Amino acid sequence: MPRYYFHLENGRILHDDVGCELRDMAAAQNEVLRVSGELMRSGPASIASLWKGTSWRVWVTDKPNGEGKTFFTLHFSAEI
Amino acid sequence: MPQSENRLLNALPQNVFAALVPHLKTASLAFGEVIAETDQFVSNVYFPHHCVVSLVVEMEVGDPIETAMVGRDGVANATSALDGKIALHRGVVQVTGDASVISSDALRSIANDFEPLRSILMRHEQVLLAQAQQSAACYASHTAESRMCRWLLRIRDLTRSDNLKLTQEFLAQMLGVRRTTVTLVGGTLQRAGLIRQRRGGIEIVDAEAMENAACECYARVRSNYERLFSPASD
Repeated sequence: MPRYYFHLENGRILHDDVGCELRDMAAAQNEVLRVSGELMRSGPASIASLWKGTSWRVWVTDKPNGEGKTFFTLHFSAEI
Repeated sequence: MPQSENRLLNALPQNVFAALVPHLKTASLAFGEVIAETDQFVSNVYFPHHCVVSLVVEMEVGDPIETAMVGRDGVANATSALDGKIALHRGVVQVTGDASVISSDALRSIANDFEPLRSILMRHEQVLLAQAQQSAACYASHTAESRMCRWLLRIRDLTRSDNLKLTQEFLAQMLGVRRTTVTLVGGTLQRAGLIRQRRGGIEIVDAEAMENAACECYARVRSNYERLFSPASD
């Protein structure tokens, strides 16, 4: 099974260096939605930047630390 | 010198503890060891010294989720001595360490003879139930950040160490979130100076800041346990 790495930019960049083995791209898309949802409600230290106008990006690659090929990217932003 | 490293055993009157001593053995429990299997008979009761045991519920699909954690201020499988001989959850060792072990039969017979032992076992079951209820509410309404702080502080109390040996996969199971979420939220807490993440473990850097960031469940569960040992409850 391919390994997918999930990374977050929320003002700063947090790279995943472990990754998850998932069946296919659909499973990776499912996983990124679940992780994004958990991050969105993960608490003040994590979420503060979004409400201060910083756009977030969660992206998925085939190599650790944000390297390699990017499969897809989700963008989140708040307009106030 | 205390009677025992386990606070429940330590809280027992001397004569009750003396009755238990011939039946108590010290065993080292290793990470991952299963001490209770759902729907199976339980034959031993464990009073942790330094080890920590997670009570988890397994789902047909997906990872097991922790409902309560037992360490040096508690006892695992004690319902078997109160006649609940079948485990209704799984008990897995999550931090390696020693425990005092006694057979369920021996503990049941001594508990029948000594009211203080029966009493503390009953009150402990009540605290354990309260902990599981708290976890259900916590899972439904608290954030991953605050729950991670709660959980790490509790492990710190039980192991009396700032260096917690646990993997992100395990922490994810305990919190009921994806491993990736633990990595990313852990990264945020590290940037905020609360913890330091390393291979195979997490170091608590600023416990006070973590208490502020933890959900109310940390203090609630802690005070329920303290009540077990406060004279007012005797």
